[in-house]
Amino acid sequence: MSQLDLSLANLPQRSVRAIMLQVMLALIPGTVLYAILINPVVLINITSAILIAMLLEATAVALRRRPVKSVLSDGTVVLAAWLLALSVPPMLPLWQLMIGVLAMVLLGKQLYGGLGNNPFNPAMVGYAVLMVSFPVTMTGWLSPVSGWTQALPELSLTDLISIKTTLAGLADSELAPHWDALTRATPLTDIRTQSARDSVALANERRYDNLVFISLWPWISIAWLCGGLYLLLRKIISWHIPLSVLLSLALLHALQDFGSASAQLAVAPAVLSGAAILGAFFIATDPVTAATSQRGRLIYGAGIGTLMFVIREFSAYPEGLAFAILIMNAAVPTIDRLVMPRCSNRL
Amino acid sequence: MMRWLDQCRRAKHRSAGGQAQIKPACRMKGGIALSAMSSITPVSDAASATIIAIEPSAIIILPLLDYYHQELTPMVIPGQTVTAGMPVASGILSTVDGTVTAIEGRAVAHASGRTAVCVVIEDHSLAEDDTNAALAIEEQHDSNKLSRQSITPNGSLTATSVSTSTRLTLGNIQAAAIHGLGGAGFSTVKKLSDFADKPIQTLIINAVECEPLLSCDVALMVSDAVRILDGIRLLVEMLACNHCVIAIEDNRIAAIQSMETALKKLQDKQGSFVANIKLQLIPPVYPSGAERMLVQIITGMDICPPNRPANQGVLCLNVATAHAAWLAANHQPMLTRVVTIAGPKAAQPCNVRVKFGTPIRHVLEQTGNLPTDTAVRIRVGGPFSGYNLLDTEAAITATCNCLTLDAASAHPTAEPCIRCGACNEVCPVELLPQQLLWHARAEDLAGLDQFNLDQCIKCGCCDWVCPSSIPLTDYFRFAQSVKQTREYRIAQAKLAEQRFQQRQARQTARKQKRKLDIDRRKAELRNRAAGKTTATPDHADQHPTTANGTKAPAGTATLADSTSAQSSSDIPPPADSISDTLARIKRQRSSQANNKK
Repeated sequence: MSQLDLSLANLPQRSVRAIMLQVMLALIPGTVLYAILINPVVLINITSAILIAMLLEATAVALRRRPVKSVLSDGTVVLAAWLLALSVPPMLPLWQLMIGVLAMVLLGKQLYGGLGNNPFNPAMVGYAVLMVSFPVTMTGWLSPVSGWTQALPELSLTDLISIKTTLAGLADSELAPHWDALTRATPLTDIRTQSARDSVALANERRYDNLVFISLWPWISIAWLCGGLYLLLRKIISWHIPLSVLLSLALLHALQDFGSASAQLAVAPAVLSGAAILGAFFIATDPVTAATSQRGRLIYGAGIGTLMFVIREFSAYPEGLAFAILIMNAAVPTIDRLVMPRCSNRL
Repeated sequence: MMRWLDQCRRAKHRSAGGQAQIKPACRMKGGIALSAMSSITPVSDAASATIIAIEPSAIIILPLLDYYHQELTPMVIPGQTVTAGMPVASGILSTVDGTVTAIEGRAVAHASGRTAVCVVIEDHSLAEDDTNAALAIEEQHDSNKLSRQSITPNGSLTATSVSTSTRLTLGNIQAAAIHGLGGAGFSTVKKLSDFADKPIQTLIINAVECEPLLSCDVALMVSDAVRILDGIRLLVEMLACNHCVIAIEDNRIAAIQSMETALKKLQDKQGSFVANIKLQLIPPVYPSGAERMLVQIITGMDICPPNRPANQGVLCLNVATAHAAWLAANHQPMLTRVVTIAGPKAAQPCNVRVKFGTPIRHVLEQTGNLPTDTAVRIRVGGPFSGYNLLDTEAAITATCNCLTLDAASAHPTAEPCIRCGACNEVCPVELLPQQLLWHARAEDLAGLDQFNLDQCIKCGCCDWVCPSSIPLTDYFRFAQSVKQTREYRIAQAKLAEQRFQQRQARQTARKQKRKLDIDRRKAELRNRAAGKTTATPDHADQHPTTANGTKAPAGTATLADSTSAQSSSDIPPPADSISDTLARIKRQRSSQANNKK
């Protein structure tokens, strides 16, 4: 008889909070590697973005007369702030980052009615607002020749922080003599345009820089990839979106390589650099704003990959993840309607 | 680990050389695999298979509701003495010998906690000092063969040997008032007779438990497999079908073994006739026990409402229904069912045979499961598709297969939907619950139709996996009821419109008829007046032109012409008195005279 006594309590029930915690757990290795290899200031960015985002969310939720505690505890806003802080250049002035967070929480999420009702990915809304408002600082990446200490040997961490808190950030600081330490775009654009732009001497120097630069980024991308695979294993995300994003991106880069004799950007660096992996596993998979059926997700992901390629190759923006995701977010209702399961074999 | 053990057990069974087929024709999409939920893996040994009996309840409450929750007309009156097996309404039998004390509204087992008109019967067998009543029943017993062989409370039957000469007919089933004993409670007679012209090729006996927590069918199969199989044989004979498949979940080892033994016995006795009855093991994935899903697994056909399996030559009956069919063939009405009492808060989990109409409180009391704690939630049905019971005085009906007792706070508050899609991955009928939720909240019926709300079998899988703990199935149930109400209103409005249009048509017809009558009468009057004018010139002042006798026929002709013209055109002329008409004729005449001049 005792065997009939089954416990309903320990059923595999998941909560939104548990899902978000798992995603955050998967972000940790990449974040740590980012801080070590690229710039430790990113940790300050993440912490401050999360704090401000929670504060803003609490205020907005309180104004909307909703339960503040339960909304904050679901962890969605923390994750979004974390992702936004990871997507922006680490040396972005702090006040600009705060504007991005403001846009993310209020414009991207609360204005639509909070979690579950926002059509656009909040982190990417914040990113897009920053990209349009502060194009100079948003494309100013420190070039870590082999880590930040080597890039700016005379600057300590406290100096970096003090630069961050100034109004103009890096561009206007006493770092001006070290202008060479800045690349005014992501490495992707650099590689793409260097031959056309630079003199031979400069090009040689830069190529060296960029090679090192590229050799550092893939490690972080691999860390993101590990986190993403963990999420796949734990069935927090489905494979459809990451696979279709990366596959379409890689395929288009491969086609381009095949078409043009001079292989400017090999497929592997193209996928492993920039925000492709982070975006494919952590940002595009935001369930609220992604397509909801499995076939729909494949289309959604392929759309993001294609748009990323198009923006990377044919627009003035160095990295197209944010805009690709936002455009595909807008297409989601249509995708969902188009790929509704058909009941053709029903009698 | 549990999964591995499970597989080992199944492999062991396979190697034992059972007759059962292992691989079903088709796999169900979605669903929740039970091997993945070790904590809820069902009982599979004989320990759970005993069916216990309880003391009968002093009163029996029989709700007068049919499958569609439409009220039925009672066939008894308060004060009337009834016997077990006597119908109290169409398709509802009294389950005890007793007196009808009232026909009144009582709480029934329903998700909404609604009340319905119930026949309340006081059980005579408990009032033993009332010898007169007992005698009266004894007399009725003799006159009523059907109720004479009623089932003893513990479910053991008076007939001990399985006779092979009995035959099952639709009449038997109707007399025994057999309803499906799965979870839906559809009338078996209706199921069998609705597509009577379509030959049934495949009979599927659903021995898959409705829900993982249940073991009432297993218990029945373990304790009474011989009768079940004989019932199946009778059903096969009655339907003259080619195949019969008994579907059992492959982890219910005790039931499989019991059924295999009984099948072998039956085959030994009956020979080649029963060769086409076979056991089919299916993977234990909830909700394989739902009729639509099981038909899909066995035949590969996805038959969705309003189409029914019988229309495609497939009939699906519950294993307990087959047992009831055996009883019906032996002229015993269906008065009881096996109910599983389970759940983490059940003090004494068990399978118990209960008479229909027994108050749930009584069942819980008798089995020692009545919660003393208010924090215990009683659910009718299993953890997936059940509903919370609001009043324990509600009675057991054919659909109450399980009473689940769990903690009241088990369901946390719903968070917003994050569209994670976990629900559409488990949906066995491939719906998009997250999209349906959106439309259900907005009560957008067009959107709900677009996303096939009608297809929802309300299995509750989506509720189970939802990370936001949204009671999706409740939303869908609500949306379906809203839709039904709106459709009902539309139908009512259409009927009203039709009635109005018919009334208008009738009125117009009547008006026209009256008009014609008036005109005819006028013409007659006119004729008569014309006749009279020639005879009596007193009325000459009224008709000055007819004073001249030669002009009189012309005048009548004009009148006749105008009348025919009026009747041929559909526009009814303004209602006027005879004098008005005459004045008009007078005017016409004078104008004609003027024209001539």
